[in-house]
Amino acid sequence: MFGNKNRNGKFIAALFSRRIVLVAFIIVVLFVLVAFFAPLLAPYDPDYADFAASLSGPTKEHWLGADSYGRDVLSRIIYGTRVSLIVGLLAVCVACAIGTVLGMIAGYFGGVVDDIITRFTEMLRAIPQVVLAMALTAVFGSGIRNLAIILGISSMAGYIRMMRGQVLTIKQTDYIMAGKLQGNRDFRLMFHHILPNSISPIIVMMTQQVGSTILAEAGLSFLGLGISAPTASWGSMVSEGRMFLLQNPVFALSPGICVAVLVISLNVFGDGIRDALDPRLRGEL
Amino acid sequence: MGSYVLRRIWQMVLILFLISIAIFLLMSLLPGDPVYAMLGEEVSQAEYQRVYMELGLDKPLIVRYFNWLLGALHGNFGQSIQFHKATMDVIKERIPITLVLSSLAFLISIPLGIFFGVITAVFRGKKVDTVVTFLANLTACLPQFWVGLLMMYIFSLKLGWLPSYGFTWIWDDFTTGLRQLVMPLFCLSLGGIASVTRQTRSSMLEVIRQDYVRTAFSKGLTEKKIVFVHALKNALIPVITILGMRLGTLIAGSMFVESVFSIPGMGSLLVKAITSKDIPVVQACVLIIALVSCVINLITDILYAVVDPRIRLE
Amino acid sequence: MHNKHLWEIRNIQTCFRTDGKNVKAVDGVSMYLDRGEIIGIVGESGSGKSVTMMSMLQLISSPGKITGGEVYLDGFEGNMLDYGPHSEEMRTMRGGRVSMIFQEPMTSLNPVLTIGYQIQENIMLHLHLSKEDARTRTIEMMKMVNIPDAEERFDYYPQQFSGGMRQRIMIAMAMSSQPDILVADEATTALDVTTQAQLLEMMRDIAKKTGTAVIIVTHNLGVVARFAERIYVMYAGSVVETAESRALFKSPEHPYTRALLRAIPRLDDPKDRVLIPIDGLPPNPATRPDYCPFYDRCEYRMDSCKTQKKPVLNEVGPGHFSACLLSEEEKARKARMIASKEQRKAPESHILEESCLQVENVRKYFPVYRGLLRKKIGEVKAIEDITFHARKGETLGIVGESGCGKTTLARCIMRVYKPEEGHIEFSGTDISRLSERQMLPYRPRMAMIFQDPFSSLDPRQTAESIVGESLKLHHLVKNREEYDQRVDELFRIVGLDPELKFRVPHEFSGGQRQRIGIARALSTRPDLIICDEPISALDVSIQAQIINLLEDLQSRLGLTYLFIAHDLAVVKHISDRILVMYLGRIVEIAPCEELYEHALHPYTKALLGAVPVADPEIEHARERVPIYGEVPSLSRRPSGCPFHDRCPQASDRCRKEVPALKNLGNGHEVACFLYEA
Repeated sequence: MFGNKNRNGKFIAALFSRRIVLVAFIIVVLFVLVAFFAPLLAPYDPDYADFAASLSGPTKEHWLGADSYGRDVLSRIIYGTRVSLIVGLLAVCVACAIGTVLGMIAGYFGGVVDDIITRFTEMLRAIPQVVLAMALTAVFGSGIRNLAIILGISSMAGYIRMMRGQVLTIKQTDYIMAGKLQGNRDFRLMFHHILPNSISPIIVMMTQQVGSTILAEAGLSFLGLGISAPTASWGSMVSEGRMFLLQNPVFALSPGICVAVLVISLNVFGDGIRDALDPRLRGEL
Repeated sequence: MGSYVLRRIWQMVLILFLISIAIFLLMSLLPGDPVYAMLGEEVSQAEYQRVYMELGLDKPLIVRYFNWLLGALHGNFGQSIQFHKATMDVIKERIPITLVLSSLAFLISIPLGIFFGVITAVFRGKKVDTVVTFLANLTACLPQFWVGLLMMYIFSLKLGWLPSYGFTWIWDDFTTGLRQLVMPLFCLSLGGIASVTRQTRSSMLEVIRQDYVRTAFSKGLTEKKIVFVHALKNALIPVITILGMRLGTLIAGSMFVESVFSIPGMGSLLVKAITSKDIPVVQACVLIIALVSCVINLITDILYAVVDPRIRLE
Repeated sequence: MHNKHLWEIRNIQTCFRTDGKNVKAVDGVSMYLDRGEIIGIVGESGSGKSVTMMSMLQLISSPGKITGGEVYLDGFEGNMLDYGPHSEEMRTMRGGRVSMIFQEPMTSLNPVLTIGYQIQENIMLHLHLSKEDARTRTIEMMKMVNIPDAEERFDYYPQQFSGGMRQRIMIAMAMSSQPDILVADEATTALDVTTQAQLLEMMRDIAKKTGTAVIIVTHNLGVVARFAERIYVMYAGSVVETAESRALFKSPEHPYTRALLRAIPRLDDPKDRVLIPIDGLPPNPATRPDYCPFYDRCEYRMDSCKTQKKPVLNEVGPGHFSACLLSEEEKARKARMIASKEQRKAPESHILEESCLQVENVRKYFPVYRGLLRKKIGEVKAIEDITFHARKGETLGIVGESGCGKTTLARCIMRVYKPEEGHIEFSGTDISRLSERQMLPYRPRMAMIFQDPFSSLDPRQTAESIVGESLKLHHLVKNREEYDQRVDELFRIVGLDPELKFRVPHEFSGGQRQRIGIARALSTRPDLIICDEPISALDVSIQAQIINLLEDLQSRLGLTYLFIAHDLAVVKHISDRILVMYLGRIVEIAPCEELYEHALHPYTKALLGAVPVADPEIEHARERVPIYGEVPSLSRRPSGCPFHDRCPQASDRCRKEVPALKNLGNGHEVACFLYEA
């Protein structure tokens, strides 16, 4: 369809009209590629311990030095990219899927269902995200899959609220009234008319949440409640490296730089998507 | 106004009640036998029985919940497994530290954030705006624990200006206390400043577009008056709503800072309790944190109503 | 520079930068205003009338930019545009010498400041009074605009007032600094007709008393005909015609003005008058041609118009200017040609005796919840005792101001709401108690056309799936081929090119969207269509197109319409019978002509009197029934006759009893004690 192609083209043009968004996009893509081709790119096996090199600073063999077991920091960072991206993306998908459906049900049906879901949301919001995630890891344990689910659940409240608000607004519009009068059933109205119209702020929210979820994962791992040894993750590497800050500062600080760069790029890219989808949401006129 | 406050308090109590149920249920799902966790695997059958009964583990879940809740309302969260003393006594020493840290960070970040937000909105598109907004976006993405480590590396290990760990009340030792406070506070406030700046800026820009600002311009008011009287008052309303959330985030953030700078606060206690499966402490910490953030939310809601006549008059 | 006028602008040019293109919103506008004069600026949306006003006050903000022109104001040296927008001089001019009232009463006052503060601030700034004196004057001003309990309400916030009251506050604020000029930019458009009439009259009286000149900016030709002494007609960013009010309406010179007057329905029209729509759409400002901007839609156009530059204003009579390239003879010749062209005849209506819809004693209340546990504390009586019928092929007009319950009534009939009481008989079946599932077979037989063409079409669906959805839902077509054929046919019926069917709503103009809405309503071949303000969101030049389309469709397809509107002229034009509602009750039902000639209920009389007619001669001769106050909110409906507290003829009985609808013969029913023998 002509109209569609035209719109997509316009969206992409608007998205990359600011150079910084393009740069951020390229960085994100680079991280994804690194995660995907980690075995090809990493100079060493991330678990291979070269005790002789233990805690050495950057050398010719180990560009970013080695950790206390003599494992190559660069290789571990490269493999850590996988953990961060997988947990970040999965958690956002979990949060979005559950949150969107719950929010839609709450907004559409109202009444008691809405009350229950709203109370549940308020409960989630009353506990800071990291604390909630910590409490949940205590129960369900950590590991990549659990961490993704836990971070998803703990960031779900935002999606429920956003979706509920969207549905409440859209429900008032004449086209939903028209749909009802035409004889549409609830299910079709919800998924055929309401969902497509409320999805863009949800997409914006998703893109902006990937970064903060990665940050939360790194934080949990840093506290020893996330990804645990021997799997390489950025947060736990910083945690291991902090003991040896004097001997090899690169060991502790370099994974943090990766977190920062990835999160900043994701956020800039997310803001870019927001601006391109809806110029009115933009922070500038 | 009165009924509004009453309604909010009622909602808060309800939420806290639900949270207490959730916490209790979650913790009773925890794998592992609490008696073994408390006394170790090599415990005699008789001893096991005694503790088992003492903890009330033979009673149904709902009875145990209400017993626990009743205790909690009196400040009794049971015996800490790892410290072998009353949970409340353990927490009592640590709460003030965390609260002081996060409230100080709150007091630093809110005015600064609002200040930067107004500046960037008023000078939007100018150099000040570009620089400050860029810095705000940047700092909002930095992991707190990493900033802490970086500062520690530079200021403690390399320059030796500040102590790298510990917490001392300033009335015990003024200079040490102050020196120990600098880095944790900076670290904790940074994210707050950034996000309040961003929020204030976008809120201001939104308000500047409103019809009533156009009306104010059409009356011939000076730009200063329009910004500080007509726009700012409106722009602060959405900022207030996030203040409650901010303090919650700060309490969460203090976990990292406490961990990095080895500060004996509630954050580090919670981490330790989770890793050692000290259920009573986890329950107590989470419930107290929820209580604090609910109370803060209540206060911001009331503040919100005071600033926004639309709510007050409802 | 010597100024003989109080205010004069010359050749104002204002651009907006969008998508990297400079769009000229105002393209060389010149006007003047004398002391104490009331002028009107009329034009459709996008004609640049508001932007012209904002430009003169330098209220244009980025991405807009004033690129040229001069503004002179008596008492200031030189061109006002040479002073910066934030200069001392501009700030003295804004608010002090020239006050402005904007369209949106709900958003134009600051919600977190008291109204007293907002007025006082203006007085202190421009009249340099002390705080106490300013407060005294504020209260005086509030009394002047008839705000009851002014002292007490000084500390009220804007949201504690109704829209009409807020606009009064805006007027008080604007007049408080004793300006020389008051600009009312669509100031009454968002308000009810009776409130609109009251406010405009009040504004005129205050202006005449204080010697303030007024600029009324509006799209409503009736309003300028009633209030303005001199008129500027704007089209596509330029003034196309200007004259004394009487001269303009008596002998309009510019083809656009002429076309506009032929396109709008008037309250004093004969029933069979044919509206002649202006074809096409106003030009997109981004792609506006160099030649006459009206060329593409002009009935008088000649080939030479296209080869010449955009025409400038020429004097065609004393004080009468028109921007047209044609000479008098050319225009007269063209006019004869147009008159001799075969005109569309008024479509015949075929009203059957058979009833299509019979509504009896319908009542709908909405519960009001409050408190901790959201306890029900009361009810809002949205509609009560509604009884009427509509015959097959008939158009029943339903008129009333906001809160009269016309939309609730429509939704009860469409069974969006379930009425608490009463019967709704549709084609012989009582549908008032049917469940959602039982309603399903009736859904295709009733349809609705909505007010807002922007929110009534799902923005994510293509036009084709919007129009065709019902066909699929109710299995009205056997296969894809039949579906495509039927959709194409529907597009053609409403005058749209089926080629456009894969576009999404925002790629259509407002008028086209409304056509899609009509095609959707027609898709199931319904018997009854409820039109809920179907044209009030459209520009005047487009309204006639849609009215004509609806009339044609009715006579071709034998449809029954319930036509809900607040614009009495439009309702009169299209309806066979009219039902007048006030605060949830029917006050009068009568055949169309009968109602306009012999209105009985005091409310109907007041309503008719409030509607301005686009002809100054008639306007000055008309008698008017005064009406007091505003429509109260439904929750504060007075006891007894709902209209008694605004009625000049109310008696004690009206305060106690509710008058019932009484038939006076020839289908004229009225609910008023005055007519009870």
